[in-house]
Amino acid sequence: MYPFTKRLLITFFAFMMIFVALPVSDIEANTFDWKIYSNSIEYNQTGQSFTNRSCGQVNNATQGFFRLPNTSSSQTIASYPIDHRSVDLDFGSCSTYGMTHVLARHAPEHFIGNPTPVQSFFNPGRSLGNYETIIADIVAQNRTQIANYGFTSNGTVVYGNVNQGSVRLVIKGGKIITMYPSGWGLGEHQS
Amino acid sequence: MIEVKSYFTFMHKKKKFMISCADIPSLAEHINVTEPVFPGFVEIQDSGQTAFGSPYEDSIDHIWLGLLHGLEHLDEDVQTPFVYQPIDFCLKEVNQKLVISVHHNQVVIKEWAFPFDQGVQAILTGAEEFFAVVKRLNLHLFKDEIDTIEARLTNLKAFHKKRSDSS
Repeated sequence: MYPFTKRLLITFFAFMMIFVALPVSDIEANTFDWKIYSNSIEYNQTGQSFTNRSCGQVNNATQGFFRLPNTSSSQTIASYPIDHRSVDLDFGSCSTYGMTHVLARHAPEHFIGNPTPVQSFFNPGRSLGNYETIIADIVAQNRTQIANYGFTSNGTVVYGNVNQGSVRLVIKGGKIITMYPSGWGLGEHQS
Repeated sequence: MIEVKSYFTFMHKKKKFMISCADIPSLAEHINVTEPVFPGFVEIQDSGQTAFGSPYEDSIDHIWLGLLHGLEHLDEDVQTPFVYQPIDFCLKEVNQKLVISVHHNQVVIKEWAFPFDQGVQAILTGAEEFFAVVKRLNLHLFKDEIDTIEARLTNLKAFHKKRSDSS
């Protein structure tokens, strides 16, 4: 047998052995980064546990960090100019839209419970300012799409990236509605 | 018979409650007409199955606009993203059935099938009821677009009536 063909066959069988040895169930389990319990969430990578917060705590944290005079939902934290208009990041509310919604639903340190069937979380350790920076970056990278559709009732969904993967940002009526990891950071509901 | 119902959901003192789209006085009392998004859910019920429903609570206005868009593009693979979860939904006609599927990372995680004509008719009736409420409550998000949405509904009804009559 030619040496090249022999080497090719050895390499092929070596790859086949590695592939067969990989447990399929582990690959599936690895798609979840979090365990979701009734009162807390746990980060698989480090074992860190985060107890669910209250919406009041999220409101206080947001008001304190951005030094806001009150907790009115329509209070604007940041404005991102798009053409002659601007997309606003409002204080919002835990259950509907804005900065408090992003934190209450997808930031592990501020999660308030009541997970959705498909629930994703950012990795722990991000500051509130970092979430705002991610929003600003994604808006800047998608100005044309936002100009075309972000001010309508249907709005638009745009994507950006952080180190861990893709992030989905939803804008409707010129307002930042929410932002969360798309395709990673998934939580597995524990019975 | 296929029934389609819409519910708005609200939080008050840590408690979630829902109000039917048909209960306009209660909606008028609780809804903030200046919000850019309205949480809620749509139920499409046939004998023995319910499409969407409370597990798929999302932006109810976005779900309805997605259903309209889906009916307008049944022959294309158009996916509507949910607002609050990293999933999408899609409407298709398959073997004279209206198939509604929910996708995560391009994988179907839930699917419902309804008789095509009845399914389309029920969704269009539900959409008419929902957007009539949107108009009556004067939700600011829709103030520049409600007429266009009503025209889209009229076109869809005419298109599907013609199609149903000719089949």
